[in-house]
This record gives sequence, C-alpha cells and structure tokens, in this order.
Amino acid sequence: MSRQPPRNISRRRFLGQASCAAVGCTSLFSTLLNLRMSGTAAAQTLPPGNDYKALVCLFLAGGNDSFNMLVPRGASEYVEYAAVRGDIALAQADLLPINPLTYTAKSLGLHPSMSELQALFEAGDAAFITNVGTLVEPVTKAQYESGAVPLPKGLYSHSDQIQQWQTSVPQSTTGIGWGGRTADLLHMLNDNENISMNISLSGSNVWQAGNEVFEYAISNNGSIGLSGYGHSPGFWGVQGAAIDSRLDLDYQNLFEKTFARTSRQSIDAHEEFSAAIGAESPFTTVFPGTQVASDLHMVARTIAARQTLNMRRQTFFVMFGGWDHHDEVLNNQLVMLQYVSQAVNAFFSALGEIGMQQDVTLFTASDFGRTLTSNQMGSDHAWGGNHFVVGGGVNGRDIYRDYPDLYADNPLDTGRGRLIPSISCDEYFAELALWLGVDKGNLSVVLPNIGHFYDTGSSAPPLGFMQGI
Amino acid sequence: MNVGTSRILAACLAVASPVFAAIDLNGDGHSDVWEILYNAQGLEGLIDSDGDGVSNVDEQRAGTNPFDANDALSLDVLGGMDAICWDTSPGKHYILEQNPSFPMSHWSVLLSFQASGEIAVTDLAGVATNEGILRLRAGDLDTDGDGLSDWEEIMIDFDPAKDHTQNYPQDDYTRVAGGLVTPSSVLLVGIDTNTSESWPDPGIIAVRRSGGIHPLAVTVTLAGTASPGLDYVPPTNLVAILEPGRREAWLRFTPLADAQVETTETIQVSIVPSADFVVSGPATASVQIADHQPGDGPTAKEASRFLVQASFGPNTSSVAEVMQAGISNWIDQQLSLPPTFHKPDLDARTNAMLATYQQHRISSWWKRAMQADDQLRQRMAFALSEIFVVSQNSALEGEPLALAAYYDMLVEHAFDNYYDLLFAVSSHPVMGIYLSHLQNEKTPEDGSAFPDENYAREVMQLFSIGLWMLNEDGTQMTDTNNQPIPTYDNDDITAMARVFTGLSYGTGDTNLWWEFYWPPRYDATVPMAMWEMFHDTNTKHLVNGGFIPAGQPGMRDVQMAVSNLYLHPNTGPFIGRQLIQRFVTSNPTTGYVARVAAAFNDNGSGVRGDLGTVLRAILLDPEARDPSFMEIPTYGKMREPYLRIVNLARALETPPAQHNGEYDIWYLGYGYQQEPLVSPSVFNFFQPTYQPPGEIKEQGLVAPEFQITTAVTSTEVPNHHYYAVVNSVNYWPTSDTEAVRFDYTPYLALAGNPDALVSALDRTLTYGTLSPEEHQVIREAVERYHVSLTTNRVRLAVYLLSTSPEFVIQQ
Repeated sequence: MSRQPPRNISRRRFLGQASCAAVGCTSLFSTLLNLRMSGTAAAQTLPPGNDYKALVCLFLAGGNDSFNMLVPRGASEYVEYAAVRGDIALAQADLLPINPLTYTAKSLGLHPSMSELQALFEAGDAAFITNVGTLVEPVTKAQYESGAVPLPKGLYSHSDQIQQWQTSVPQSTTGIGWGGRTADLLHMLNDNENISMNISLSGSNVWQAGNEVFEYAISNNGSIGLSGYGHSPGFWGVQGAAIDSRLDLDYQNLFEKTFARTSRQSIDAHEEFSAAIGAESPFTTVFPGTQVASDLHMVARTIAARQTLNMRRQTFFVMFGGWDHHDEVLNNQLVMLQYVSQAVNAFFSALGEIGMQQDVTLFTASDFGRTLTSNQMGSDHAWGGNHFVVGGGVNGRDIYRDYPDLYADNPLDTGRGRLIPSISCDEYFAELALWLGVDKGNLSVVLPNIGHFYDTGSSAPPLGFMQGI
Repeated sequence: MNVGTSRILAACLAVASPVFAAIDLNGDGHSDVWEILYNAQGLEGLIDSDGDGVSNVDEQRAGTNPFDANDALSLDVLGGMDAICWDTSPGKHYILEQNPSFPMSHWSVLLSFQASGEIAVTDLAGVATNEGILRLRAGDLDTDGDGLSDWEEIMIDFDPAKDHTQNYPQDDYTRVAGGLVTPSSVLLVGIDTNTSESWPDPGIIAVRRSGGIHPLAVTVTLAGTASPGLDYVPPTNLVAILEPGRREAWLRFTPLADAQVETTETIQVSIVPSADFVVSGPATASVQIADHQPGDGPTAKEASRFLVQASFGPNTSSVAEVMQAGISNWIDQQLSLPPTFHKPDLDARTNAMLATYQQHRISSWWKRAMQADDQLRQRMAFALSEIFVVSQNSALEGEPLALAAYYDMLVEHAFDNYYDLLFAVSSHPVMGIYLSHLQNEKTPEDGSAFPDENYAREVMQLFSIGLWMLNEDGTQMTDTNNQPIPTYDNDDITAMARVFTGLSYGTGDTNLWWEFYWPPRYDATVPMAMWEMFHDTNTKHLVNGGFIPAGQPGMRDVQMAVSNLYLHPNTGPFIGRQLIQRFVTSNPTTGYVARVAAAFNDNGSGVRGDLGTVLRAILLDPEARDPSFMEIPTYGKMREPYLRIVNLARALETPPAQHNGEYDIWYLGYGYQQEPLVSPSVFNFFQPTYQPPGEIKEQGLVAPEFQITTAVTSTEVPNHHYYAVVNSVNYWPTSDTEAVRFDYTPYLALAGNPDALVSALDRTLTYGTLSPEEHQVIREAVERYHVSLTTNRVRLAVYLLSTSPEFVIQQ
C-alpha cells in the first residue's frame, strides 16, 4: 500500500509541471512516481507472513589480524603458524580449544580473549568463515603475478578495501553497498515512511547505501531530537514552526537542498524512533561499558521495537575501529578481541530475552587480513582474513571451508604471508543475503560478481553456514 | 474518455466523492478557497463553464479551473492500455476503480491514495482484468480535522497536517475565515538595500501584506536618481504577485557597473494605490547603489564572503581590513606575517607546573583561530591538518605537546615549499608514531621480519600522488582499455617501506644502537634522527622511474624519496584539488584544478611546490572570486561543521572585558564529529571523494563534509549552536569569565525592528546573500516573540540563521 503522510505534501503549488499527456510514454516509468500497483520491484518475491529478520554487520575497521583470532592449535599446525608469525605468534597453551562438528582438517583454537565466543561456538550459535576476501573472480598465484585476471582495485589499501568489503564490487569505485542493494529489494516489507530499513550506529557508510534506501544514523543513546523544536501553539512553538517552514523552502543550490533534506528526515525519524524505543532498556542482560557493546545494546533495543516500527527486515551497521596494528598487535588484540567477544555475547543474550536469537544474524567484516609475517610486533596490510557469524539461525559449531596453509611461499601466499582469499566476499555475503530473503534470481543484483563463484541455479547454498536457504 | 482495445473495454471517469471539510462561508456549496483561487464566485454547479465536459461542481471537487478547458481531471492511456496516467492536484484523494462488466454495480478499488501534485502513472498489467470499465474519483481529506480540506490548505500555504499551522495560537479555520473576509493591507520594506556597482548582489524590496489571503497583484512605480537599464536591472515586471495565502512578494534590483564617477544613487519604489488593498504602512522604499571605481576596495559583502574562505570567519575588523587593503594585497600581507604558534601556550603550562592535556591543545587552537593576526596561515594549517592527518585517537592520546609541535610544524610550513613540508611531515616523530615508521627496522639477517609499510603506503596514497595517474586538470588518465592507471604497485610500497627504516626519536644518540629503542627522553616534539645500522641501504626503485642507489646515508634516501614524490606530475593536481575543496568549492572545474596545478608546478619564478603561490592561485581564481558562480546550483561547499561554530564565535565576538581571553572549548568533537587533530583515522573526518545519497551522487558530484552530516550530527550540531546561543560556546563553564559567550550588544538595539535585525545578521554571517524567503521565515518568527523580549528575539534570529542551509553552505 502506498501511504503518504500529508507532511510530505509540499505546500507549494505545482505550477508549470508538464502535464501527463505531454510526456512521452517511455520516460514515464523511469522518471515519475510509479504507484506500484503490481509490486513491480525487480520481480523480487516478498516473503509472506509477518516474520522478522535482521543482519548486523560488525565492521572491525583498520584490518583485524584475524590469523590471531582463529589460530592453528594442533601440534604440527602450530609449528607452521609460529614459524611464519615470529614475534607476533600467540602461545600455543593460551589458545582456547574448539570442537567443530564436521571440520577436521586442522585443529584450531581461539584467541585467549574470546572465551564468550568460544562458548557460543561450542553451543552451536557461532561459526567461522576462513580466509575470506575481496575478489573479482577466482585467481591463482600465477594469475596474480602475471596479471591475467582482474584484481580488486587498490589491494592492501584501507580506503579501497574498506569500501569494497561494503560494495562487493572490487573492480570499480561505487558508493552503493550490498546492504543498500538488498534493502532496495526488501524495504517494501517494512511499513514505515520515516525510518530506513538500514540503521547505522556509526554514521554514513557505503554498505547501507542503496539506490533508493540509505542509512538512518542513530547514536548508542538512540536518536537525537532538536533542542527548542516545540509543537504547541504559541510561544513554545515559534522556533519549531520556523524550522518547519524553512525546511519546506525550495533550495536551488544542490548542497543546500541536500542539507535541508537531511535535516527534515532526521527530525521526522527521531519523533517516531524515540517514541518506539522508549527511555529504558527492556533487557536485564548487563552490557559491558565499551562503545561496541553500547552500540550493540542499542541495536538490540531497536530490534525489540520492531513491531512498533512496523519493521520486518532490518540491517544494522556497527563499526569498531582501531585494528590497524602495524605495531603492538598482541597487546592491542588482547583488549580489543575481548571487547568484541563480550559485546557479542551480551547482544546474543539480550536477543534471547526477546526470543529473537533465531531471527538475527551478526557477521564480522574488516578491511583485510594482515601479513602473516611480522614487521616487529606488528603486521601490515594483506588480503584474505577470518570472520565469524553469530545467531540462532547459523549452522554453528563449524568451520566453513578450509583453513589455509600458513607456511611461507605456499600456493596462496603472494609474499610476506599476504594470502589470496579462498572464499570471496560474494560467497560470504550471498549466504547472508539469501537468508535475509533475497531471491536467488536477484543475487546478482545484490552481488554483481556472484556468478564467478556460485551457480545461482544450484540448489546447494553458497557456503552452508545459514539454516534454511 | 478513452476507449481501449482488447484489454479494457472502456475507461471512464467520474468525480463523485462527497466534499467535506471545505470552507464555505458564503454558503454557495463551493469551497471558498477554490473560488478565490480561480475567481469563481457564484458559479452554478451543474453548468460546465469552460465546456470541457466537466461540470463546475466536479471541477471544484477535483480542484481544477472551471474556466480552463485544458484543466480538468482526465485519464490518459499509455501503450495500448498497459498503463494510465493523470494529473493530480496536491492534497486531493484519488480512488481508481474497475467494474469488470455491465451493469456497473460492482466497483472494485484498484488504488486509493492522496496525491502530492505529481503525475500519477499506474501500470495496469496483471491488475485490471481484461475487460471492463475504469473510473477515477477525486475527493478531499481533512487530515488535521480543522475544517479545511488538505487541498485548500495546500493552496493557501497552510499546513494540512496541523490544525494550528506554524503553531499559531489561532486555529487554521479561524485564520482562514478571517483572511477570506478581511481586505489585504500592503506596505513596502527594504530588506537588502545597500548595493554596489562592483557586486551584483541584488537589492531587495519586500511587498508585504497582512489580513487577506486572496491572490493579489500590487503594481509599483520606479523613481530615484538611478536609471533603470543603465545603473541597475529592474524587475521584469513591476507588478508584484502575491499568491493565495502568501504574505510577501519580492522585487529585485541588480546593480550594473559603469565607468562614471558618481555619488551613491537611489532607486525609489512606490506602490500604485488600488481598490484591491489598503496601504497600511510605508508606500515607498528605496535601494542605494554605491559607486565603484577601479582601485576601490571590495564591498563589505564581498570582503565578508572572501573571509569565509580565507580565514576562520569574518568579523567587523577583518572585513574593514580587507575592504581597506583589497583582496590581493590582503593575501600578500598575510603571506608575509610571522607565524603564531600553538605549543608556547602548552609550554607555559608546563613551566607553571600545570598538567597539560589534549584539551589545552584545543584551547590553544581556539585562541589562535579567534585572535591570531595570521588568519590565512592558521586557516591553511588547519586545511593541511586534514590532508597530512595525525590524530589523538591513537597512541598519541597522551601526547598533547607532541601534537601541538606537529601542528606548529604545519603552521610554519603553511606557505613554504611542498618539498620542505613533506620532508618535515615524514621526519616528524608524531607522524612516525601515528603511521608507525618510528623505530622501523630493516629486515634482520635471519629474515624474520620486514619493514613496516604503513607510512610508505599513506605518504603516496594520501599525502602526495594518490592512487591513480592524473592529468594536470585532476582528471584520471586512462589506458588503452579505458581503465585508470595505478600510480604504484605493491613492490613500490615495499621499496618505500625500506626507505623509511632507521628513524627514531631525535633525542637519541644515533651512534648507540640501544638508543634507537631507548632514547634518554621520548620526546616527540623534535624531528626524528637516522640510525644507519637499522636503515636498509640496498637499492630501491621509486615510482615514476625513480631510483635510490645502494649505500647512501639514510636521510639522503628519505630526501630522495620525498623529492621523487614532490616531482611527480600528480602532486600538483592531487594536492591542489583537495586544497580547493577545503577553501572554496567541493567540485572545482577541471580548468580551476589545472590553473592551481600550474601554480604548483611553477610559481612564476621557476620554483615548483610553492604553497603560498598555490593558495594565492586558489583564492584569486575567478572560480573563487567571481560572484556569478554563486548562481550555479552545484557550486560551493558545506562549511565544515566545526568551522561553523568558529565562524559564529568570531562574528559575534565576545567582549574581552567580560572574558579571560582563554578558550576552554572542549568536548565538541562528539557532536560535531570533528575537532582539530581528532580524526578517527588517517582518512580524515571525511574523504575528498564522498558522495551523499540523492541528487549530488546521481550527478556524479562529491560533498566531502556530508560524510559527517548524518541524522545524528544534523541535530547534534544545531543543538550545540542552541546551547551556545543561549548559554556559552563552551559546555559548563566554571565561571563567568571562562564562559565564551556571544555579544549581542549591536543587535539588541535592532530587536524592535526584526527586518533590520535579520538584515544585520545576514551581513555578519551570510555576506548579504540571505534569500528573501529565509529572511521572511526568521523575521516572522522573531516578530512572534513579544517586543519586550529583546534577548530572546536576538537569540532566536542567531540560532535560526546559524542553522540555516544558507549559512551551512558557503558559496
């Protein structure tokens, strides 16, 4: 149903607009309001019923040294690991053991700071996806060296890789992310004109920017209201009325117009969002005081308000920065991975309080993995890295595909332990997009390169780490 | 009426919704608003006055003109009944129904919605059955339940969602009923009356009415000493049209330059009386045109606009300085002023045995921004700090002195040669800590570790040449496959990483290997020194065919590597474009970038990389100075959020007598997402390529500052302005003298004359460019506060102006 609140109706008269008979037929559908009587959104079938699902992207910005997060622990594997990592190797005895259900090729352990994640894994609510990275199409070391296959632009560069992890189109520079493209297809499931399907705890981001949908930014205290913006008739309403009148003006300058639009949307969204979220957290779970935990706390509170907000599908973006450990990687990860583990655990526990563990999946992303070799207590920018997903809908307690060999000059090593990814970001994200409700037929809309890695006609899932796809 | 082919038997329309919530004071069964809109009083409903097949009463229901045969609700068919379309009227409610067969008794609703004035296009495929009749009905809604239909409210500039539009104490019905029976009262007010031959900002006279809401035409005559067509461009029409419900219309007078030496000339505007209105105030108003001769300085408006670009914001004295000196001379004076440094403030604390934190560095920054004479240098240093980024959000958190030293290095080299700047950046221990080339070692003999690549990468990607080969105009070069060409590959990075080995604290003895790790003092305020034993002395290939031979002293390697980047053809356009974005406009033309790059490549005396010349070229370029660019919708940039409050504080100077001269303005970073040297990463608060969603992105343009303009900051920043306007710029000052408050003295005297108040603030804050629409919004709001509330009136005006799109965007 097309619902248009009267506030969106301009109080200006529409004079001088071309009349419908004067406009050519072909341009009409692309340029004018299409009332979508037949639900023409790219032939995406919308999941029936009133189910709810949300994806939470936890972006570890700076490039997490994830070969110290999921670590070889068995005797021979550890020797190989310790040899290549040198002074940034973790002690074997400190690694937390895990017992995957099916994966047996290597014996692996977790970083000693991640006991909560270890417990989630063992309980079947977490899985690891190994050596994931940006790829345009599959590439061998020989092809990498000869340049026979197109490679991601700006490999090993933060700004490029952080963008490509969000766009999943590493061959070009685009400001549209795969979360945004997903929302372009699915946002019709939500009946809310003011609040986007995509909510960010970390401001503007590429992942949630679509062609139609873009992020609604909140803080970990929720949305922010405008001081002095009163509604009541008389003195206390004067300032609010002036702001409303001003934001209704026709600005010719594109920057002024864009700024006015952003202001209008943030005011409208706040009124609805703050009312839905309420002043108090509904959870008894105690969240740690870290920023990442506070961010995830607000995500959980937003999910708790899903019915008031008329949301059936949502994405959340939480960025936790400071992972660019060219130096002191061991000391820093000791603290920061603990923050992650504890925050994710509290989040999952809070979801349990509202019965939403099955319907929410958190996944990690990061610029890149880091060099296996050390630059003396630090590591440099590399390529493939390890990631985890947490949720009741995860086929948990397992390792997805093959943990790579780490020895120097192995067939994936492009130098200094910069590993060619064994799994493309597209495969990782395809599994998540399908779970959220994107049709297989629309996967290539969301992930344009997916055809290089996965047959969308296949009945098998891309990686198999999510249930029911 | 349209007859379909195979799919639809016929499409017919009817307008038969009941009309409700329309105001009908004269009781003739038609909306009074519709009557005044089309001058259609007393029409017989069943007659079709314009012969378009739709009766007057049905025209009224659809909101169309009963005297225009081309304006009536009708369905048009597209593509052989695949789709239909019609013109909507804003606020009207439309129901599209289908009846599959005769008799027409079972209408099923296909679509029901309230329009906003668009052309409605509806795809029929898969919705309508193959045969039948379509009908479209238009009707009214009264969303706010105030007795006026949504359509009526929209037509007379009322809010259909509020029964008290604009939160007026009276309800909408009462106001409209009054407006329908009250004649319009009209007067003239000059809202921008000082113009100059040298500056095409038009003078503006408002034709203001109160009372009535009818459409109104007010004719004026022109007199005065200025001649239309010679001294100014008169309005194309000397009739001001007031749309229904509107309270103002504006007449614009654009001054024209001539060579005559003349006194200030006057345009006098007078109302021609009419029976349609009464004149309730001044029937005349005038605009002055000041003479301008070659050699005269810029006008106050022009000087003020320039100072938004070239300083931390105009104030009374700096505007006077620029008007006196002229823009080019002022730049030259600024280029020769000695630098004002920041670290001495922190040293004074240290000497007084006081602890020093990052907040004291921020205080020092504010003091310089507010008070330093070398404004252009300070402004340039700030711009450089957003390119050569270091941040306290790092291991430098506890190093305020070191960060102040780094900032002072930027201040010192602001107008210097780019080579010297890049060398100073590369050898500064703060950068060494931030991007980890301090204590970076060559690969040890056992091959167990490799040189850190962090600085090697960013010095190329961010501080000099960027990722892609550029033409001199800043556009990307492409190869034969039309692909951009990388400036370097990973081998170049590893080679560059080997250049930046052997550097550590300058306080250590470079002959003693252990002082590389453990110097006597960890002092990050003095340049790094080179320990040759930790430096990689093998040959290194640099970008663009550069080469470093083996066996050289380490610092010689660093010099050669910096020189290699300095000489790279990318550096001029890469750095020049970003500086243009910091000072003038987000999307410079390729010609502008090329002119600035040319100034980088040669300062006119054969010197490459002269940053003073580059900055001069940026600020004196026609694209920065020529006011006609302000007419281009894609021109300009967002004032950086943090600089908005600095601009505001400078413009509304706090009197020194009431203030201790210190600026303890801390904790703004969260709300603004910006504060000097507090970037979240080496990629600055925002990136030069950021594209906000919507039209800017669709046009392929960038708007870097919008990256930190989110739903959070677009309320947090105005909320801090609100706090500053009501309380002080600093949160929770501990004493009155510590509070940095705005001085409203010059404006309090104008509080009784809201037009004069808004005009004065327009000159102070928006260099006289405030649109009459925005002027009206602020002026009317101010007028609604009782005249005795002088401080509240001024605060409201300052808050509304400082948060307006026209202040936020600089042009």
